[in-house]
Amino acid sequence: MNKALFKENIKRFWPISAVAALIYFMSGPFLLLLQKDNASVFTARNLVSNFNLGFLFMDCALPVIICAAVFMYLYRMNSTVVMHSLPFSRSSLFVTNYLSGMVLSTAPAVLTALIMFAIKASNVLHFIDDTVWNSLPAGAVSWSTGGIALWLAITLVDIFFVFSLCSFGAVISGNMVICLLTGCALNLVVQGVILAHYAYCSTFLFGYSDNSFNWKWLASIHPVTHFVTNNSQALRQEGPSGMKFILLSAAAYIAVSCVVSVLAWAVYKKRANERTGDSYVFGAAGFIIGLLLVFLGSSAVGLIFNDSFGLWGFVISGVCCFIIAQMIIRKTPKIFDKGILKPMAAAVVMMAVVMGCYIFDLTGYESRVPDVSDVKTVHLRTYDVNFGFPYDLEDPQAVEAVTLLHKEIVAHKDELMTQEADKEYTSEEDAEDEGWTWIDLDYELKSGRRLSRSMKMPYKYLKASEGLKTIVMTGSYNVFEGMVERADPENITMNANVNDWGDLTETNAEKYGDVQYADVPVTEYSGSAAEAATIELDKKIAALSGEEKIRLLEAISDDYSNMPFEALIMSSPRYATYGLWIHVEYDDMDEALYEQLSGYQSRLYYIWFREKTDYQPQSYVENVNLEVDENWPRTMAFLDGLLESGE
Amino acid sequence: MIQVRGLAKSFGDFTALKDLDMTVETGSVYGLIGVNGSGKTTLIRQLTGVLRPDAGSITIDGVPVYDDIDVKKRVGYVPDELFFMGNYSLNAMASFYRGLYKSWNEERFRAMTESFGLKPGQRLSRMSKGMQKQAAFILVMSAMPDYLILDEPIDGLDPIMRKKLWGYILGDVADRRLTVLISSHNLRELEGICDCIGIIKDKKLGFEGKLDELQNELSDMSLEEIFIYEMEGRNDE
Repeated sequence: MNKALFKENIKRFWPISAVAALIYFMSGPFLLLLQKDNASVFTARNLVSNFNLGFLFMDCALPVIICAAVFMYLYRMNSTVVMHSLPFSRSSLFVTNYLSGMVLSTAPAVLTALIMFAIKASNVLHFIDDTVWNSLPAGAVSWSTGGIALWLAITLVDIFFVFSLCSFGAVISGNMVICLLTGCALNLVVQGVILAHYAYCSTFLFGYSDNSFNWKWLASIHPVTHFVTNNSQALRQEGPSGMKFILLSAAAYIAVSCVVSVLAWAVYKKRANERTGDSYVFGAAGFIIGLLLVFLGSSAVGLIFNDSFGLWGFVISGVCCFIIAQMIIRKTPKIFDKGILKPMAAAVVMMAVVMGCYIFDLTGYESRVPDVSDVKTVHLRTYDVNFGFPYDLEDPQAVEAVTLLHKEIVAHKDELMTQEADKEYTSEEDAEDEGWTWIDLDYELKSGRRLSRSMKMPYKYLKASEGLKTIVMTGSYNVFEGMVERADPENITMNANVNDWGDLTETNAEKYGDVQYADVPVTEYSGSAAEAATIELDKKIAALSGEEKIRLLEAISDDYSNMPFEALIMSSPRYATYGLWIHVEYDDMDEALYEQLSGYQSRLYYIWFREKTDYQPQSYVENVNLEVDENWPRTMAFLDGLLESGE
Repeated sequence: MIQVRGLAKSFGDFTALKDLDMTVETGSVYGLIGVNGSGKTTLIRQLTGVLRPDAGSITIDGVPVYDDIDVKKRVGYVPDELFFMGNYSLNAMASFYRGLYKSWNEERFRAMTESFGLKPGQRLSRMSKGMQKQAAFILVMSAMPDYLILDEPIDGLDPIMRKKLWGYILGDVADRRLTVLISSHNLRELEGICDCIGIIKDKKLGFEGKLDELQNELSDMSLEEIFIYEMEGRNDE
């Protein structure tokens, strides 16, 4: 490193850092000091939890600007010539500029942390709602010296990561505008490509499952998004173990940043100074970035306008993006010469591969069904079949039934895709038993890999499926059947309605008891919500004795056992439907059963809120929402009797 | 001594220099001449370590120039297009150079600044082109280099300043065997100060030798006549 150049860089560019420090200060410590006597816990917590937008903006913007500033001499021939003729080696030039850039980028955050430390130590803040701190698990980020130190550490990692990518962008760029754009693009490109992949799969591949797309993983591609999303979640839920997660991920980002920085250093040593002023000083960089622009541009436009233009949207936008990209890279509108042939051929091949893989499914993704012998377990979820009951199956016969169902669906693939594209959904069609539903399959293969599919099907195909019938009608695959037997009558409580489950998620265990006996009426439907009549059923159900509640559950269980396969596939209610919420507390629920029941959704569903560690061990509450129609004769009779007895 | 052997440099499809050999003796004043676009600046940018040669070698006193800090500390370079940092004054630039060159001579800096009549606290960006050129010379000469490489050095300088400048340069040549390489189209000026010349022709050095010997050989032709003769005459022969 060259001390003289380091000192000059600091001397020249400190005003940028000073402005940044001011923005950090105004976004954080100043807000707290303004509130001083009635400080908001949330403001303070946002500061140290990486949720402050001002901080986040500066974490991203400052390294980009500073990096462009310290490498600015690379973008004009006179400065390039003079700087490289002075007594520096290429290494010392890069390292000195890099380190001075890092100091200038991080200094405002360090200064802000020092101010926050001082505010904390001086105890000038008086929080008006400090009970919030108490609700956090041990180790969670809070307005403490440790919390501020953690914020600083994470911020430094963010800045290091952004700066390292920008430095790579700076050394391959030939002018200032391209340097700034490349720095930003390099920070976004991986997530952009992954999102494009996801969008292509979701749009074009029949059976593509969201289960195979990990949004947390997408967020962790970049520390800024990772620490905003996964970090706070980890800390809030896991306390000290969340801290370990943060430190490990921080170490990973530091390692990646180091690798990128070394790469930038190596590239700088090979930099072709004679190309100063071009968009990119390496031909390969322009070539790759040109392809990325074509891919991302045509994907964005093509996917957004896919319904209107179909394939033409991709083709036309691809051509436009290619021309624009070439004009930017070559810095001239006169691009149609023999030099364009190579990038054009590459762009055509790339888009052909993209179209082939995603639109025409040349990889056979849609038709892929695993061999039974390769499957370890399969998770099947049918939203409108058997009350959305989830299945976890490993018995080879059951797996075979699932693969049969899968093959039956795949056999109808082309027909289903055409129908789905043409279909207009109306309530009349649903009433005519032509509704569609989703089927999710998640195979865990013996090789350790997973194969997930999520397919949309009309009910009529499901009613004709032998594979599905085998699974649904085999009692031993069905945990629901034993629900009544497992329930302790003393712990069963029922009511007809609960107003807003969303509120419950924020309610602690003690308050839950108050909510479950809420005096909310049940609604009887006769076709539309506007004609709904209110029946005072909840008090009667709440007043049932333990034995009567067991009888009601037995009626439900009995009706369920005798239900024909076709009736287990959702159809529109023929007449009045009772909404019934049943809460069953299990004293002996083990984790495996919890995992199974936690999959209940839709008609028969289980709600568990927050984490089970928030509650008494082994005290689980099940919520069953049953819409009862003519397929539930015993249950209907019981509820009708309850109504009549009240009249 | 500067030695260039088998030097080649291309920019894409265009070959700028090919198989060029050149020798600049220590303590000599070497005039590098050639037509526009002949590759003089390309050669100089490789001599100063700005560009990496595609092939061949450039050494100063036997040490390769490219990326060697110690060699570069001994070389002063005044390019045709000047560059000063931001809104720096001559003093601020001197402070930067002082940190880069251990050989920095503060006395020389003050003397030259006074001699050229520049205000050291004035922003360089507000100075005229000629004054900026003087400032560049002051900075480079104050670093007391062993080798001085000048690309079109006297453009924009008035005759008085030129005289002063050559006085400093030739004084260093005489006093401490400074080696000077000058690229210029002002052949009359070169004729008065150079003892050796090299003419770039067809991407390589078409002629290299002592000026007085050449003049003796060519019936006391002026440098301008020699240049035209070398570029056209010998071809015609």
